[in-house]
Amino acid sequence: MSFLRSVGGPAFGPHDRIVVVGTGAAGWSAAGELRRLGFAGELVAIGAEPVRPYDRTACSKGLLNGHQKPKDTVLDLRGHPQVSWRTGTRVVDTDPYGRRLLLDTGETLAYDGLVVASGTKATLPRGWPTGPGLHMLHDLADAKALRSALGGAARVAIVGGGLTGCEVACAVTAMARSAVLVNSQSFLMPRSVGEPIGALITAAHLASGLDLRLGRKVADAEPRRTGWRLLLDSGETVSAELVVVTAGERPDVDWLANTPADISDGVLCDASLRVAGLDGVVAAGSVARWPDRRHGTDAPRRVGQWIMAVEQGRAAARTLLAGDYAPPASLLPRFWSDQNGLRIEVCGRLSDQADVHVTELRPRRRDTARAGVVADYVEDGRLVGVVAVNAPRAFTVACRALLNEPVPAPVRVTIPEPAQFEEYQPLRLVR
Amino acid sequence: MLRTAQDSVHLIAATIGFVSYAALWAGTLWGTVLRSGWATSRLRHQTVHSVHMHVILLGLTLGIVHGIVQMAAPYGKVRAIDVVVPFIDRADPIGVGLGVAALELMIATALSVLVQRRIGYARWRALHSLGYLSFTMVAAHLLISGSELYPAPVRTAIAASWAVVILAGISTVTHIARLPRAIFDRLSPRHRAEEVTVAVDPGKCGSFGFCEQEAPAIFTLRSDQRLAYRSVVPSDQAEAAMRAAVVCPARAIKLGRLPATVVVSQPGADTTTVAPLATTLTPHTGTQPAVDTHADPHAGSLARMAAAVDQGTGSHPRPAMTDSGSFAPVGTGPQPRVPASDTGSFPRVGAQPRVTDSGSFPRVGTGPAADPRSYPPAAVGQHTGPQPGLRPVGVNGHARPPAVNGHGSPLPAVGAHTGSLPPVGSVPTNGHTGPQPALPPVGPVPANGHTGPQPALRPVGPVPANGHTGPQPALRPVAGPARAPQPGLRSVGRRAAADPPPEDALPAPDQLQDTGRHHLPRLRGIAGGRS
Repeated sequence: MSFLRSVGGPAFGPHDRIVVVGTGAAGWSAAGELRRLGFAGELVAIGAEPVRPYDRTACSKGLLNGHQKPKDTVLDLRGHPQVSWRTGTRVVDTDPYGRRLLLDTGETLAYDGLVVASGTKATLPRGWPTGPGLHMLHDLADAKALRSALGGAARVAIVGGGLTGCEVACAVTAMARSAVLVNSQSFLMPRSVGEPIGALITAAHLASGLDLRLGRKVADAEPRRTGWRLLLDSGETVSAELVVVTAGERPDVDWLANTPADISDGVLCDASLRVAGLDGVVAAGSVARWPDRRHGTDAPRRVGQWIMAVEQGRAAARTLLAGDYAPPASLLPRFWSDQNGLRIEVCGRLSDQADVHVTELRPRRRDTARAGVVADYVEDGRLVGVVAVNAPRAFTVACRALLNEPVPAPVRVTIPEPAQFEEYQPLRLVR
Repeated sequence: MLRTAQDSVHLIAATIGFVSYAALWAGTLWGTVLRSGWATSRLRHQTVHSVHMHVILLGLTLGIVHGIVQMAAPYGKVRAIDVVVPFIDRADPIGVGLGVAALELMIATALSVLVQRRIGYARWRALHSLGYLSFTMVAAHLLISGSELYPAPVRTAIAASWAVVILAGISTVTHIARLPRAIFDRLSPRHRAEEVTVAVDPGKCGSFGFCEQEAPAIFTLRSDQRLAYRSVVPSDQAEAAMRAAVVCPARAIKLGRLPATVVVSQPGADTTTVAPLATTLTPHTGTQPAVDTHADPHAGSLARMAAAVDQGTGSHPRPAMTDSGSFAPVGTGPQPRVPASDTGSFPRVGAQPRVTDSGSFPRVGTGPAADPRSYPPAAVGQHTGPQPGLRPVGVNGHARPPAVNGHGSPLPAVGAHTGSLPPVGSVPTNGHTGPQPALPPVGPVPANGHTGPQPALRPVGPVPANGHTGPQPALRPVAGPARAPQPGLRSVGRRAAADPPPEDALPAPDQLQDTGRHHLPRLRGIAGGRS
């Protein structure tokens, strides 16, 4: 086999070990794709959470309001034969030259190929106190804790009006609890759906009775005997038994600190999701910062979405097995949200420079968002992004057009030099 | 014939009672339809729901009237308290009591809709299924105290109607609902294994339409926002169906018979030489020496998981498949040792000199001897049996120590260094060039119980020789830019062999126009939206 490999077999053979760090959507799909493409060696998936791979999007959706139980969110492992799932284990450090990982159990794990899919961690804003009743929502344990805490709470304050915050607010109100949502902007989900649709969704949420504090920031949070009291910058206070902070997240890349990889914001990758500066390492999921051709610019960026994570995991697996000749991964960002009867769907990129065409499906209705509305983002005469609320048919047509669109010509991606060796300047003279 | 007042009252009460029973029967049956999602392909969910609610309300109202009318009979046997408190009736305590209890239980079940959101959906479902119990009690009330029920056909009809409701209720349980399909699959001919079955849970489907984006030939979101799909798709569309199942926001798509590629061992490999992957997963029989130095704290969960994952030969997971906990000071050669205190942590990468990125792991083709993958296969087969222990000591401080087979001998050459042996000639010093005595190895190699196939002990040439602590010996000029694709023959062969399938098989433009709505042979339709 080794002989075959030397004359052009796959980059990884049956004696190699590929380690997938992260058992989220990206790691799950990467492991499955590796097996599906015929990788016959050892495949180890390491996940920090002590549970089987599950559907993380359910944490802010079905798990909170009880429509799903944790066992309903378990991902299908039928397409993942003979993968060693090492859950509840963290990777602490990486030796990229010996190709070894150091685990928190003290073991070292050698790898031949590595898939970085460690995802993100939820973080509290700086200066926030912690304590019982203050929740973040990122993984299954968080969702379970929040779900059990919701049983005894009547009023919940949610800090941060992004996608997660809105979904939590809708789940809380669907459980007949009252929710207060504090958002620093004047409309909800500014980054996810853009301004025009965000304003319409905000109006729909206000009409359905959600308590929104828009344009406010939390100046101070203090624990009380029965809950928390939030002091907003406008001077008003919000008292609630529970506080859910959905303010930020941070890529989980500390274990790559001793490698030449650029981990300033996620892991910098090239267009094929190879980690810049490391051999035999690819990245996928919300941790990967890569230049997408479809995005139109060379600027690498991270995308933290479920479908994107799955597709990136697949693309990363292909890249790993294809070696140097992997095609660039050009993927269409897509996500969805179901908020209190508003089915929000987004695909493509919502750029600031684009012209936005908003189409109401039923123009006479006053509740525009609920009746159906589509926003097309057009840049230089090309459709680059679509946001739709309660308009799945129109969205599907537009999204398929985007998917079928040929990807623009390759962008020359400059990979920074992996590391600096000032003391070894003579090396370069040899070259 | 002149009826007595008592007879008239009884006639009215009995008639109302029968009509009430009929309404409750229809309403309960309709509730199972609502639960199973069968009707959602034909009717709107809201319609089904309101029919269920109104028919049940009618039955309950008539049931209350039935109870009140009983009190109107002169010289009546039924007191006011008898129609409120069950089982205290003097004439017929069991029969009347069952009716009263059933009515009250059913009213409570119906009223539980009001607190559905507060108690949560799952708990409400459990509470609401008390309706089957109360309906059973109503049927028993009829059979016990119904005065017109002596003819056997009438009794049979009542019993049959009750049985229909209970069977319909049982059939909505998820596992039982899947049973017919599972049985059918088991009995169906083999060639159907090439097809993939698609089932969309109508209760979950939110009609987002993401499935149509991925697989327009299978799924079609109709203009009335219901989803039409093929229930059986050929294997060439299985990939699209799998993608659709993954992206479905509601996770409503279930695929049967996934066409997964299961790679168990190399085709044609000599199992005495190369341990197939399956061997490493066979259950460990017999006594195992307790070599496993790492009690895996996650062994339990891992075992469960592996049992769920494993489709093949065994259900026993690999033991901790990693190396030992700390770096073995393998430097018995001339190079400086890794300090003994430095166990468990990596040397700081930034502190060590390195060549550029391709320096540590030579690409295939950069040097004939530099790549352990390019050894002729003659090496395979020479190193069978117990671990030959040809450690690359002195080559590379980071080479993994040979696995001490923690399971004694029964595993044939697990992790034998087939294809990954370091070149004997290029191993600098330490003298281990001949066949080695197997165990123990030279250095204090910790036993680690590693049974997986050993990855290639790769870095042979330009690798820092000693665990990144000493001066860099291999100042190898790197030819060309690191990321440039290797030109020449190799790229052709490699591309041909290893190119992944085209990126995403996007549907052709002609598929875009034809959504298949009119041509799909086996269409199922479901509506969107849950309650």
